[in-house]
Amino acid sequence: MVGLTPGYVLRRLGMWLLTIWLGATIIFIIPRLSPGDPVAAMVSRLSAQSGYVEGSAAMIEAWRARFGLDGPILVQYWAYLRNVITFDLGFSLSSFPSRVDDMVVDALPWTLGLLTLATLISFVLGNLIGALLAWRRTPGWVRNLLPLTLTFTSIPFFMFGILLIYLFAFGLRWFPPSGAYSSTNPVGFNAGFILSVLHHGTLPALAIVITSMGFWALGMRGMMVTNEGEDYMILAEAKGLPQHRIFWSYGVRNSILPQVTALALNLGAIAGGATLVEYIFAYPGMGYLLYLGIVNTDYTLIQGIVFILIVGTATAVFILDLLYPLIDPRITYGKG
Amino acid sequence: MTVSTATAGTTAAGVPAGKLNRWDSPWLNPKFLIGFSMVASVALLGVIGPLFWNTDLARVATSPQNLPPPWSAGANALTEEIRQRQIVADGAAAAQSAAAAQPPPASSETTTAPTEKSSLTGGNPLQQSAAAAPTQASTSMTGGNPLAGGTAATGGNSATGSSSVTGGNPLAQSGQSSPATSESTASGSQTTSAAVQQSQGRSGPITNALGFGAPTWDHPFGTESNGRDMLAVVIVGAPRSLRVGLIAAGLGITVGILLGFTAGFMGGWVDNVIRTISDAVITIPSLAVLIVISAYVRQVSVENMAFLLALFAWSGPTRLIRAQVLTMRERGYVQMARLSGASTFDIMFKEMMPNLLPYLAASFTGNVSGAILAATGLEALGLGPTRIPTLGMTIFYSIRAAAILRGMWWWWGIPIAVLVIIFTGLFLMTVGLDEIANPRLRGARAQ
Repeated sequence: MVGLTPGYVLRRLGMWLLTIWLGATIIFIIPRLSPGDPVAAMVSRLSAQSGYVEGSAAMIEAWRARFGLDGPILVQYWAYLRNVITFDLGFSLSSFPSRVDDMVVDALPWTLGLLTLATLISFVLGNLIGALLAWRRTPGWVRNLLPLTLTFTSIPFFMFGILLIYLFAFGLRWFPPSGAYSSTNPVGFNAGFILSVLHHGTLPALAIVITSMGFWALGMRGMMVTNEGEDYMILAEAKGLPQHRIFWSYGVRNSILPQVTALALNLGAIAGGATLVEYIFAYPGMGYLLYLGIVNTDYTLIQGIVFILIVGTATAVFILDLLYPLIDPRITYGKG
Repeated sequence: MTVSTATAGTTAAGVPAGKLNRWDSPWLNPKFLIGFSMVASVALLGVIGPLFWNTDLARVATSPQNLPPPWSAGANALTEEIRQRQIVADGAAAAQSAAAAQPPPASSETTTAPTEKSSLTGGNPLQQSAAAAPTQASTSMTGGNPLAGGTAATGGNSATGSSSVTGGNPLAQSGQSSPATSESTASGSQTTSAAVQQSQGRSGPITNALGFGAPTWDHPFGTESNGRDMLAVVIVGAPRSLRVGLIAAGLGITVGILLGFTAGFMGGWVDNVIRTISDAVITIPSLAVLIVISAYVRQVSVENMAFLLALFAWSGPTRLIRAQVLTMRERGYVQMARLSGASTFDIMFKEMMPNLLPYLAASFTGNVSGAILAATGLEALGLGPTRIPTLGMTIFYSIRAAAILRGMWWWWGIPIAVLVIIFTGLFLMTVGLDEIANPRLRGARAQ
């Protein structure tokens, strides 16, 4: 707890707010830069799809009220920010009576579970592989086998997901091709449901883990190689410390710090990639909801999800930033 | 792909120790060269491809639908099966014309139908190769067969088209119930339009139960359900993906160089502002924001797409260059240059730039890869340029038509294979450039 000075926390909090504000502002500006009146275009498209839209007047009303489209732009902006801060994301256009907030709340646990678990596994495995690759005392056969695990590193998550579906869902039929749980099990906290969730979640998680592992492994290997030349490693050897202690407390401990920074920097990209994985697997999380929003040109849904995604990654980075001084006590001595 | 040890020291092999050969440059990094040749070969395909292949075949309905590549496993068996069906169908047609002339010979009808059924279940190579074909698909197959057996060749053709529709849908519906409605209607309209095209097409091509035609070398990579030739799609699409990546990364790195040098040199509040904003932009999931933009701007050209991607491609290089400039500023040779009265511009571009080059190149290739990934992702969601075939768009169509579960691996597999070559090539280049920039990484290989 030494490193968590109030100044540091405040700076990070400011960064968190700035990121969310920037994201919200971008989402606010985009519809206004696009040609034409989005409200009119949307409603006409909607009524063209279904002939008659029940409560379309109320929808236009809600939309106009949400953006305050009649007032001057600054007033609109202020109203928008106020709505967004209270997570009032408005009505969905494609399934009108339901609110975007509720749809997001339904989808969020799936994404959080899949993404957190997959990222954690990939981070731990990847760093371990990278550290072992660089470690001088790794047995030869391990060192020769490890590069095999990095074969799929450069393939995008979702393309690898397609391959996995073809092999394991279509060909071998080991895993289901889509969904998050089978409809035969009652939703709830029971063994059948949990097993079904795990069964459905394996392929999407694998798609993320196997393709992102190599990124961490390479970074870790680079850091370990650099660290092995340092004086404190030679001193540790000279002191006769046990090898596992040198490996974990001297090598890995010092090399993991830039990796945590890299994790914070790449969370946005990982979240983006995972939305595509959910779309491929029809996994009922945020990514699939986003795809449905695109298919149905549901602008409120798209904007709401993107805003939540921005808040989510910013918060994750914020948490990582707060954890950082705990694993690296030096951080507050610098300029932060 | 060997990431570490295997390619060790090939550049320095055979060179006497202590003597620098002019070929012994760090830029002759094997990973970098292999990666570069992979990317270059894809670019070359786009340049020389149109010379020997008709790129008009990349348009819709220029080729027969659903032909597997002729070199694929089971292609010969499929050809044989379709030849058999042709014979049976001709026989059925003859029997019908005979039936029109004479009172119905019920015996001939019943004899032809069973033989066809046996050739279907016995000779279908794709059903055999996939260890266990999905049950729904196989039931709908058998549901489609009596129709194909009972009626004449032309009627049987449209029936197989509809059987492929029902073969695709139940599997799409096995996902969520509420989302599946939109997806199944999408794939349904897709395949029905394909079926309509098929019935309108040439005088009834014979297909197998899955709707696949006889593979020919006229379409070496096969064709998909919209009647596009896959080789032509690859030739047209691959260079487009590369171009999007190059433009976006080029713009991004230019802005990154400007901002990074400004921040590193000026320091103070300018540095603070630039660093804070680039940090914030890095955190925002760019793909999500790009989705919002392209959802509003439905018609995106390749160039506009690149500009959009560049909006998020500058923050990484800015961070990197700023950090490097900060450490370089204190180096001896920069101090020396400053003392000898060199202008800031000269220090930047004559002293620092050459030393930054490997970092810049690594950042550039990484960014090209990122931009192509984002572009393909948007296209795979159906948000790319719609008129021109791109690789991501092909993946989108294949997913929408449930090609994975219909066994049409060449439809999604070939664009993915090309993209994987691009990504792996760029990745190897990035790793190689990292080794060029950081000699310690090179040293580790030799151990």
